[in-house]
Amino acid sequence: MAEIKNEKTDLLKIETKVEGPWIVAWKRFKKNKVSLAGGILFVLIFLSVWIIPFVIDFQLQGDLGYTGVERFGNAMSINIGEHGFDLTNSRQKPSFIDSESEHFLGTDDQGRDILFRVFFGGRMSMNIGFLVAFMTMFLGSTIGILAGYHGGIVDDLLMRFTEIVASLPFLPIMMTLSFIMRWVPQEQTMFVVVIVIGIISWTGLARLVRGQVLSLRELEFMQATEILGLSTTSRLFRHLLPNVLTYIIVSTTLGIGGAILLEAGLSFLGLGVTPPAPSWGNMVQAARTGVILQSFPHMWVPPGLLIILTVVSVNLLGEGLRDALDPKEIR
Amino acid sequence: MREKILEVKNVKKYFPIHAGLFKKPLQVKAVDDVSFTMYKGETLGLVGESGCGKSTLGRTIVRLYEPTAGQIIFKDQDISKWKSNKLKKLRQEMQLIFQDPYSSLNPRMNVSSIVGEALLAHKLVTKDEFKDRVTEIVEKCGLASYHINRYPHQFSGGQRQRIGVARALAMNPDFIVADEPVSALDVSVQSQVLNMMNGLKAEFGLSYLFISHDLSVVKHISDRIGVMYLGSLVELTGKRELYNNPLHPYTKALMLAIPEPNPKKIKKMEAVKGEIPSNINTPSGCKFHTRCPYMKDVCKEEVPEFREIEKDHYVACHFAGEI
Repeated sequence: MAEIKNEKTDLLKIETKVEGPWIVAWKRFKKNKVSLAGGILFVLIFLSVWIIPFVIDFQLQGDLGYTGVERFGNAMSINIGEHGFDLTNSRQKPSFIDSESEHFLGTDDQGRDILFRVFFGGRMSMNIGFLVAFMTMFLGSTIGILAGYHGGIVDDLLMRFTEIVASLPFLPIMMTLSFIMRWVPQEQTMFVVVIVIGIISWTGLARLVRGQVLSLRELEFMQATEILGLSTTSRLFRHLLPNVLTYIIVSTTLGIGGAILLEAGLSFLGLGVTPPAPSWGNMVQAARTGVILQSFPHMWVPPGLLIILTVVSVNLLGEGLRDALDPKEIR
Repeated sequence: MREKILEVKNVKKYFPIHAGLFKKPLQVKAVDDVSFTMYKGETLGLVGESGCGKSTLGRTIVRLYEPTAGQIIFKDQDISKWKSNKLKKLRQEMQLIFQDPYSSLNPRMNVSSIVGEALLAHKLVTKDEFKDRVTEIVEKCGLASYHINRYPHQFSGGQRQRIGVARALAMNPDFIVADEPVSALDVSVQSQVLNMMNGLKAEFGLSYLFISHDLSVVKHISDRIGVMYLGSLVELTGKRELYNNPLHPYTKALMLAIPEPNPKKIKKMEAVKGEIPSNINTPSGCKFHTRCPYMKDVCKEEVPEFREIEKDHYVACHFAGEI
C-alpha cells in the first residue's frame, strides 16, 4: 500500500491539467503543419466565396439597383449594364495584361466579369460540396449505426439496400436527370444536383460506420452499458456515436472535396448546374472551345485553379483530421 | 444457517451455430447443467481452462445472456426469465467487473461520467450530490478525488481496473461477478487490486463470484472454489479442502500444474494430457473421460452425478474418494 501512496503524492506535485480526447486531438492536429496550412487555406477560400458575393451585391444594389445574382447569375434576363452583360466587352483580357481592360480577370464570352463570377461560382460549388457532405453524413451514419447496432435482419436489409444504391450507374442517371432538369426552375437546379450526388455517395460512409459499430458493440464498455442498465438512447448517443464520430468527421471532410469535384465534372459535361448560373465547373466548360482553350486562358484558369486549390486543401485538412483523431494511433 | 444469496439450478447456456442452409443446426454448449449455491458475504472462486464456460456462466448469472434452461434464484426470486425493464432494477443489486481494463472503459468519457453515469440513469442521486458521491466511491477504490475529471487513457492498467471496480460499486450492489478482474494486470498490481477488493467486500458486505484461470489468485481471494470443465462444474468445496484433498482427477491434475518452487520435490503424476475436447460434440458420459488416467467403461456411458461426497464437498466423478 505504501507504493500507492507514493504514486499519489507524486501525481499531486504535478500540475493536474485535464486533457480530454478532443483537446489531445487538436494538439496533435496543430503539430501537422501541412494539414494546418490546408485547413487555413480552405477556411479562407470558404469565407471569401461566402462573404465577397454579399459585398458585391451590396455595392451593386447601391450603385446600380440590381444584385450580383441577377447580373452574374441569371444574365439572360437583364439588360446590358455598364459592367454587366455586355457583348461589346466580351473576351476582354485581364487588366494586368491588357491595360485597356477595366476587369481584373477580364470578361467571358458574354462580357461578364470573371472575377465576380469566380466568387459567385465558388459560392455555388461550396454550397453543393457542403450540402452533399451533410446529406452523406446524415444518411451514411444513420444507416450505418442502425445496421451495426441492431444487426440481424435489420443489418441484412440495410446493407443489401446500400449495395443496390452503390451499384447504380451514376452518369446515365445524371444524363436522364439533366433532361428533366429543363423543367426545374433555374434557382433549384443546384438542389437537384445536391440530391443526386448525395444519394449516390453515402454508401461508403454507411459501410464504414457499420463496420466500426459492429466492432465497438463487442467491446466490453458497450456490455458495461447494458449491465449498468442504461437506456438505448444513452447507449447510442453517449457511448456509440462519440466513438464513431471521428470517422464521420473525417469522411465528411473528405466528402466535401469529392462532391466539389463531382459537381465540377458534371457541370463541365453540361449535366450539373445549368448556365447562366455560375459554378466553377461550368466556368471551366468554356475551355471546351478550342479558341478559348488556346487564346483566352483567363476564362478557365482561375476557376480551374480554385477547384484544385479547394479540393487539395480540404483533402489535406481531412487527412490531418484522420491522423489527429484516430484513437489507435497514439503518438 | 447461512443466508443464501444466489442459487443456480441446472443452468444451461447454448449458443446456436448456423452451419449452413441444409445442415443440421449445431450448438456450442458453453454452460451445460451447472448448479451451485452461494451464501451472503462469501467469495466463490471459479476456475477452469480457457473456453470451459466460466465467463459465460458469470455473464449468464448477471443476465447479460438469457439462460437456455435452468433457474437463477437471486434473493428468492427467479431472475432467469426477466425482461429488460425488470432487469434494470436488478442492475442496482448485481454488477459485473470486466476482464480487460482497456476495452471496458469508454475512451471518450471521463472518470466521473464512467463511474456515475448509472447513478443518474437510475435516479439514485441528484445532480448536486453527484460529484460528492462519485468522489467518495473513487476514493474508496484507491484513486484520488482529482482523478475524476481525467480520461481513461491517462491511467495505468491497475488504475483503470480500479475505475472498473468503482463503476461496479457505484450503485451499491450486494453481489458482484468479477470476470477475471486481474488477469490483464502485472503480478504486483494484481495483489493490490485483490486486496482492495477484499477490503471493499468487508466494508460493503459484498458477495463475489470470482472467475479466474489463475489458481493462486483464486486461492488468495476465495472462501470456496468451484472447478469447471467443458461447461460443467466438476468439483466444489472450501479452498483448503480443495487444495489438500482434491477428489476429481481433473482437479488433481490442475493442482499438479501449479509451479512448484522447490526443485527437490518431484511430481508424482503427469499433468493432464491432450486438448480440451470440442464443446459442440461433447464426449458421452463423463466429459473428462477422454483425458482421465483412471477411465473405466462406465465413464463413457453414464454421466456422473454432481454429489456431496463429504460435507460441503461436491464432486462429479463415478469413483470420487476411491482414486
